[in-house]
Amino acid sequence: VNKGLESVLDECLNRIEAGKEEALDACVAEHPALARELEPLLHLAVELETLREDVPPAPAALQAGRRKLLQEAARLKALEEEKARARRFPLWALNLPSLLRRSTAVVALAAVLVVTLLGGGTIAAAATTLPGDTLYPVKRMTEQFRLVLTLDREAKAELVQKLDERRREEAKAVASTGRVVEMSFRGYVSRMSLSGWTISNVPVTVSPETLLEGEMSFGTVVRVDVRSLSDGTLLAVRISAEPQEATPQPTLSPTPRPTNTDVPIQVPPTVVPATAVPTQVRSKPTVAPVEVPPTATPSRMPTRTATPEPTVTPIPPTPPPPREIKVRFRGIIEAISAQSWTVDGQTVRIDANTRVDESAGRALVGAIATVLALRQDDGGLLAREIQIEQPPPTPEQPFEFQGLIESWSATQWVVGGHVLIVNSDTVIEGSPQKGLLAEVKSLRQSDGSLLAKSIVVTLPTEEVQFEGVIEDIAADQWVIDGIVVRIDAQTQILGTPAVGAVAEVQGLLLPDGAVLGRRIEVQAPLDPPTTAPEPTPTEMIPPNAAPAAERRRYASVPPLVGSVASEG
Amino acid sequence: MQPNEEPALLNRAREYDQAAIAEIYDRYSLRIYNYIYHRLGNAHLAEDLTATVFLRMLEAIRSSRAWQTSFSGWLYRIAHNLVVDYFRAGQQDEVALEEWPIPSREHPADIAERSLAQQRLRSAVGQLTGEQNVVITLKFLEGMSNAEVAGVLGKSEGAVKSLQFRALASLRRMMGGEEL
Repeated sequence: VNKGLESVLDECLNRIEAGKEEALDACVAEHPALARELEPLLHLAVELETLREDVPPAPAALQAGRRKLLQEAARLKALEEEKARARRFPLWALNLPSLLRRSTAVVALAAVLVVTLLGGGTIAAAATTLPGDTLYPVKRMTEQFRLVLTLDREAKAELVQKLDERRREEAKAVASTGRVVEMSFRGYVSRMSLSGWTISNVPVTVSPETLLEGEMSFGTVVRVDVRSLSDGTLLAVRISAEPQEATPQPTLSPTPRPTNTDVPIQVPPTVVPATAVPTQVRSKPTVAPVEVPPTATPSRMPTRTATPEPTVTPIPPTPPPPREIKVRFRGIIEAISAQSWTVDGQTVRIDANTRVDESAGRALVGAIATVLALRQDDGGLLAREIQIEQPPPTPEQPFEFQGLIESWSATQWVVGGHVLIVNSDTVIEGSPQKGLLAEVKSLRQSDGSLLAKSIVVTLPTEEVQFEGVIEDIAADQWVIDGIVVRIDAQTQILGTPAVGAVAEVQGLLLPDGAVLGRRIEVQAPLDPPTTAPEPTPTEMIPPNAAPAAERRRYASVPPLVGSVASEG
Repeated sequence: MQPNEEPALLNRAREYDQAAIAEIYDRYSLRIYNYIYHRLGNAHLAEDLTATVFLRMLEAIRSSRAWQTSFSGWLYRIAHNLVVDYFRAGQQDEVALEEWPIPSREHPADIAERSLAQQRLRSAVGQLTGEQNVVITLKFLEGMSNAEVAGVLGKSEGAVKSLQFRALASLRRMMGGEEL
């Protein structure tokens, strides 16, 4: 039965979608056996289609999404190109220290092979190349050979510094050519600003996409991955703090003085450069690392005080602990799921230890957050702490309502207790008048204020006519027989207004109980004037002794007299 | 997009060709945005999630398993999964599903102004199971044909008809069997 119903339902839906008149009723009539099931489903489908009329607001931010997408595409493309280059010239060829750790024989063989294959001329030609040149990898390889083959630690430290300087000079030289290349160099942070940093005299541009890893301040040694742009600038892709141990210390003596007092102080284990081929040092059969307490206290060297042999090597440098790379970045939360969040385009995993600080706002898509994350072995990020800095901006929401006009000016109206901002784009129909009903279409802006899009002033339709003594006269309203009569440009006034005179009023009953005067005829004073005239028998509104609220009740009754227009 | 044009465009996009990616975005972003908007009823969220859909597309476009038959269907599925994730994250915060389409800071008068019947219906659509929800959204809110919905879901048109029937029947039950 369901199969039949499914087909009939689909056929009917197609007919309804095609806009055939009476399709729904006709369908139901054509299938009387299924009518009971079919009809409510078809009505439901028609109702669903009305939701289609709920047209979403203009998606202004789609353009921002487009820019972000293209930026990300450019980044991924650069990454792919880098990987492709690495495949063409494998990284292991540049990472000779790691090879050395595996086999010195392999290195020796490689050295022979390289020199043989490339020849001295090629190496010489490569010396002046820049990143992106064909022979540049040869230059880097020869540098690595020099580094590996430099055994003297002081000389090695000097060489490291010299190579660092060379990388920086290369970066500046490449930038000046306008060539787009990715490079990496190391140096000290000498300037930090929102738009750019200077790393050992090399200015780099920092963008919101720049990854900042580790704690950094002036003087911190950092490694910078940059992309040279065609406009001659260097855009920092990533800036990461180098471990303190990596700073070369040329003053380190390879043969420490074996005194009882100064050795532990002057030669802390951390001053050995991490880049200075730790494998060589590690391979020396000196004091067993297990005997050395991890903290640098004088008690760690009891054997030296006993046997102050000058040949004793310094404390074997323990290899630096695995570097915990902290990443801190800030941006808009773009997605939240149970396993990961996306903040500023970067996806971070979350786990049970992730702390989310919502003291400044709830963790919602659109909020601005600062993320402190740890880079994982697989390259992913694990969030340690997410601090919500700002709640998401409240999108403009349409707000439509009706209310009585309380006040108005060129820039601001108060309607029904709501303050409305009015500007040149606000469409106003009708003339404002206190107490008149206004239909308002507005937008609630992110700061909570209401911006009026249109205000339609609605004239009341209930007409009244009464006669009474004028008690007060002001520019915009009179009081006649205790009733407030509002005056506007359309109010026709006949006769000479005067307090104490009798006036006949035709007008419209306003929702607040006052009357909008359409025609006021002031009668000529009787001669001689009497005291306060009695209300005439034609009066339609209760005497002014009645409280305003009571008069308002009268306002709700149907028109008390015929229309003003019909009376001419 | 012309059928014979799409593969070439996607191949270029796989190489992160800026023009191709921009073209894909221009062709699909509004449709994806509308889809998410109709699911969530919140323009701001829809904008955010639309951006995320295309970033996800970029991450996965090089994978041979990215899409089997329909690229647009694949995009809709990414969008659908994001919406589901969003709701899931919301449930962790113990926010009732019915409350989702209404931003928490909305003025009470705004809420009063909404059509309650439509609100109930939208809320009920939000509670449908994944595929039923997609069928209802694409067919009735986006105005797609059965064939187009089938392309998105990677199912036959017959399966779409069945889903459509079950989804409408579920909605009817949720709405209390009232005649609308």
